[in-house]
Amino acid sequence: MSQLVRKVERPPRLIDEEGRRADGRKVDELRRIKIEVGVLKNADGSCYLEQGRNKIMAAVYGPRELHPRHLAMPDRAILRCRYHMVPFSVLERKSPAPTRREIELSKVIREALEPAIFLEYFPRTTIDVFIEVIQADGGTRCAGITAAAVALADAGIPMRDLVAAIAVGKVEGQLVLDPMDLEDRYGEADMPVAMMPSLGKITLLQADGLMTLEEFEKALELAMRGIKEIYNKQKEALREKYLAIKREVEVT
Amino acid sequence: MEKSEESSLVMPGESLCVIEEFEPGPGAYEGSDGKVYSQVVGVPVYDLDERIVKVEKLSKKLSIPEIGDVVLARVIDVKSIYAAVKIFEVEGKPPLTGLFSGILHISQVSTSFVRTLYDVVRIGDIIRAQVLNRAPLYQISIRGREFGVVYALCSECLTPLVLRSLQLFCPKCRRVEKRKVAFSYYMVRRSSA
Amino acid sequence: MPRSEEIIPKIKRQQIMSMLAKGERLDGRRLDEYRPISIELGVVEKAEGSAMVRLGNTISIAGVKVELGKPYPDTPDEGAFIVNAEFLPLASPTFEPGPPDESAIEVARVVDRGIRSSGAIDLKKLCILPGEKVWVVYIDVYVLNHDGNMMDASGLATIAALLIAKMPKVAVKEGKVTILDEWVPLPVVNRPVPVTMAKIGEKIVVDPSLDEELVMDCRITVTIDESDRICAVQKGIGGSLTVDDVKYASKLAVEKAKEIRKALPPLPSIEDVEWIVKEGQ
Repeated sequence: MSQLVRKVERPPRLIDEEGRRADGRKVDELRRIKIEVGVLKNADGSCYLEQGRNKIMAAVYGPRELHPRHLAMPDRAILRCRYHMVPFSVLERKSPAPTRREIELSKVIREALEPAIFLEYFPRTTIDVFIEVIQADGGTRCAGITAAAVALADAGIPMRDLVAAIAVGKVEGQLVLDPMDLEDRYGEADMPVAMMPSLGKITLLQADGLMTLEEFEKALELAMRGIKEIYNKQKEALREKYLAIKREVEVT
Repeated sequence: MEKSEESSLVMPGESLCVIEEFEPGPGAYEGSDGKVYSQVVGVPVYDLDERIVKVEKLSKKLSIPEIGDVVLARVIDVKSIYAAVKIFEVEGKPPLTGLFSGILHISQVSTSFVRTLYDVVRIGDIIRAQVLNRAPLYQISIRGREFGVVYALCSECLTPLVLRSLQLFCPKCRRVEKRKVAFSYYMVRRSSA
Repeated sequence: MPRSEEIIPKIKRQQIMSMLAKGERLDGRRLDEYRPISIELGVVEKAEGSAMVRLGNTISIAGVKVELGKPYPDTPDEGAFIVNAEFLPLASPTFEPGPPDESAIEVARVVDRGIRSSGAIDLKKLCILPGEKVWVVYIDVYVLNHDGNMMDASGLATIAALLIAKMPKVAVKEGKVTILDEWVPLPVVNRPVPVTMAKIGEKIVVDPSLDEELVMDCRITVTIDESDRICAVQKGIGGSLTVDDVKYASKLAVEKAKEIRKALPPLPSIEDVEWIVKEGQ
């Protein structure tokens, strides 16, 4: 059982003289990432992801018939996405009903995943992606996208590429990779980025706070480095599950 | 060239070759940069004769009903000229990722004249049918001896009906019911009971 | 959205019934045997208490949060607790997004009754200023994967989360309440354990799997407290039970609850704990 977190208090410095952050990371260092594939038996594909204190469960259902049927597209599947935080995922209990923030994030996450999927293979169906944030500690939309992409691949849905995502923050004038909640709260800027890494295409880009053009470009480069690392973790996790399956297939 | 086990497993978005070497087959696609990429988690197979690379999928096999498929469906509504069904299984394919709605028109029951669909199927029956097309609902046909009702319940007492000298017969209340029965009625009923 | 599951029961029921007649179950369990239970504690560090319970393939997660609030008018000197349960759409192909449906509300209320009637939380200790300020304990339960018996998985997750939950001390000075940065256990004094059984044909099985739930005739949940007392009962779905069924079920529940309680963390030691520091009196 890990140590309970009761309070987020601002330390006097978010980055010390040696360039260490509040949790001991360097400015360009990701949090520890753990990805498990196929954790929910009912889902067609699923993924559990931990990124520092973020804990995310993602599940994919479909392609399946869409109700109400008139929403269906004659030439392709539609993608539906629900991003939701459970009430105890944050320090102040959050009401279980979807908030405006969750509705917006559901939309941008959907739009981040859509370009990666061959929706045209499954006309008039829906592919449903559910992202549940079990614990939130900054950068959950990115962690959600990373997890959802793995769940989609696990569901066997044909994809152009995986989608990996990371945020870059600006804290005390410095760019930091993968900001946690504390840095989000007291930082000057936050920029989540999602990409199809091997195609080099950005599928989500948001930013708030103030950055100079130079900083923005640097932030993008930093994000791309983070995304490469996350992409490798995604592939590693999928490889671990499917190498075992491949061996089984070969035996039989 | 001998490849290690690790590298013989590819992920979506992993580059397989350039288009000049191999054309993409199932599980692969051509990117806008002229490279061929994998679409799925699987093992790439390079066909040197056909100059095709395909990826044999290891992740979940997906199936949605396709034209020509033989399917099992449950009848959920019957009118005199059409019946609504839910397709729940495609024969010889992996399990469906959900139920799919279909429709059976009276013209697709037999080559000869059929007066009303009530003599053909009833609500709750399970039928074996063939998919004709997919717009806007799956249109299905039960023409032919191998298609039709494969499992039915007595409309009085809900006991499974048995096939007795080409008629459906209720062993409990001794009713005889009308259906268009598939050749395989008895076999499917037996294996599912 | 319904799957072939809605069609299978008719066919499967025969199979399940004939196996039960021989004292067997689809997954090889005995009639009075639970699926493997695992309880993972403190999975959410930001929650005051949390637990993830796996009952075979059924997964439930519960989180506890405490907040200051007003007491109910009829119990001015007691704190309050609220149980909320939701079946997430990622848990099953048949669950849809939206507010809790009637079966989720049923789970929440049965879990709530178990806690309330066993007096598992000493609510008197949660009162800070009678009639004005008390602690409110929020318990949220989420089902992550549904493979039958969400009731027991949720009930166990709830009590496990409560047992390890921590809450801050408060200081009261001239009617003003300050939250201190000192953490004490929640006053949990009882460990109710729900035991759910299904009646299929003439047989009663514990911990029904999803397949069994789809064909069952009746469901009964009996919640048993630390000293083998029954603290909540709920008959579920349609169908009926005989008096003998109920007697058998309650006896079995006592036995099973004892077994399952071993998997739970112990009661917190709260003898010398002070929740409220009164100053300047």
